[in-house]
Amino acid sequence: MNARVKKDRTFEEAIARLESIVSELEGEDRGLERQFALFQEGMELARFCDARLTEVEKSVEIVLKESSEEWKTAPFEPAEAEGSDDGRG
Amino acid sequence: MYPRPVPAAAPPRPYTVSELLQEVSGVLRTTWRDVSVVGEVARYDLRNGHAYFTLKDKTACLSAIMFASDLRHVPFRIQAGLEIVVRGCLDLYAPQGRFQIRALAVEPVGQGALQLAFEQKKARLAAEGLFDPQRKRAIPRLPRRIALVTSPTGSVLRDMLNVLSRRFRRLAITIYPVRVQGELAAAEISFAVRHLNRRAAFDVLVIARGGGSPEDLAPFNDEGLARTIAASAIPTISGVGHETDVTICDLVSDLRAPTPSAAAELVIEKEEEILRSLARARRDCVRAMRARLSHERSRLVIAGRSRALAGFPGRVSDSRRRVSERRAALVAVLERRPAEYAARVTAARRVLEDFPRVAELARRGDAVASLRAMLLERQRRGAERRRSALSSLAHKLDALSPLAVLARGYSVVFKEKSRRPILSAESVRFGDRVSVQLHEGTFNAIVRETSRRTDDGPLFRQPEEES
Repeated sequence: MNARVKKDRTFEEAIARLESIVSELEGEDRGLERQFALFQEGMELARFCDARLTEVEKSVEIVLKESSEEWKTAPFEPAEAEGSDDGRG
Repeated sequence: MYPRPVPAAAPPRPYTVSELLQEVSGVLRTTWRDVSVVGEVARYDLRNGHAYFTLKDKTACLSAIMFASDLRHVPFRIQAGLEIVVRGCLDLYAPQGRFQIRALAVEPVGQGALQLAFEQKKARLAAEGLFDPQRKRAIPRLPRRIALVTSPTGSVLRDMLNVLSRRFRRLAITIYPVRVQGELAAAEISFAVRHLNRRAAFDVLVIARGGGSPEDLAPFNDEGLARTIAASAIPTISGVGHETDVTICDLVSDLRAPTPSAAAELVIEKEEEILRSLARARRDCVRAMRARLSHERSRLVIAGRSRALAGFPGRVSDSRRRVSERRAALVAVLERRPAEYAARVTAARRVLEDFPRVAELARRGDAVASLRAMLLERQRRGAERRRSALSSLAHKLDALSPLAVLARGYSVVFKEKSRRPILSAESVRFGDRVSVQLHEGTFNAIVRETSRRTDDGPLFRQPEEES
């Protein structure tokens, strides 16, 4: 078992692993070495999750279609006025 | 039963079949131009885009045809067993002389055409497995890039952005603007889903639209859109209409939200909740480790005080004593052994020296020669014995052979072309051709006379008795 956190791990994989480590640690069924390895892995996962949470930059953009294949985006400025194509019945 | 045709003064020229049917058909079309009839569909056939079916009730049935141009406007599928109201004109199909109704419009009985169309489509896609829970993908817990497929204007988008920004401070959101009602909406939304999939940079895709009439929501019941969503590699959340509206889009998406705002809530957990659960996990890790360490430490303390440990030094000296005893025994054995071996080696050497090697070899040579002679003698005797047995058998055979009997003057008579000897005069008749075999050669003869068997016994006797 590799205790090092894989770089390409997704957030939910990491947090799910962290949760399973917690329940395993609370099981108290393992050898001390195993438990310590789990503990270290858990701490590293917690650090990884923390980093992931702050990684994304806030942005809101809207797709501007150029052709059927290409598109580019522009920052989205929500209009204050009610649109006609509201769709609310 | 029928009144006999009254002969007219000048009987008119008879109709041809075509003329008659054409005339009746004309009458039917003008007098029954717009008629509605209710019945159950039996036997439905679709050929070249035209629908051919039978409408029936308990005692009667009526052929019906609906041309492709009219069928196109029927949203639901006409199928056997369905009770429908057919509106159209009566007609006569001349090539088969068949009376039929040409349907211009059909309506299901008991529910609206659109409702029925929806139920039928739902059942069909469900049967294909498009709504199966096991093919639904999980929505990532922390989506890094979110795509919103919705109308760019209006409160729906604004509400969703509000919800999202309240729940999480940092989100990368891409809005893909589409029309959400009208004939082009379904195709536009499908295109958007495929387009976003080609970028493969999104963790979740939200399709949203506010409430509206069933007609407004029709694009979200499009079969093509349903298949596009099912094929999407990006997990999809659908938030279409109000809570009570369930569209095909809702059913095929990986997660259904009752409203667009609810969809935004399902996109991501509240940031503080994620942080809280992360902090809790970390705390639990530390707590569990601390508990374990203190547990181990106290075990160590208890172990140090235990009687097993207290008695340990005594057990060690005990063991040491046992080891030294064994070693002494071992040394004694090892010292005794070499003398024993030496004695055995000497005895063996003596035996070997007493053994005259050359004489032994000569003896072995003699033995081989005598064995070979014995073997040859035995083989020779065996062959002789077999040879004499064979010759005595040949003598016996010779004595038994009929040829030997012939040599003593007897003959055998065969019927012509037969290999069986004649044993009785009764088996031949006057004029029969027979062949007589002598000791040397044969001759043929013709039977001249036969007489009954004498008491002398069989014609052919054993030679010993004869002599």
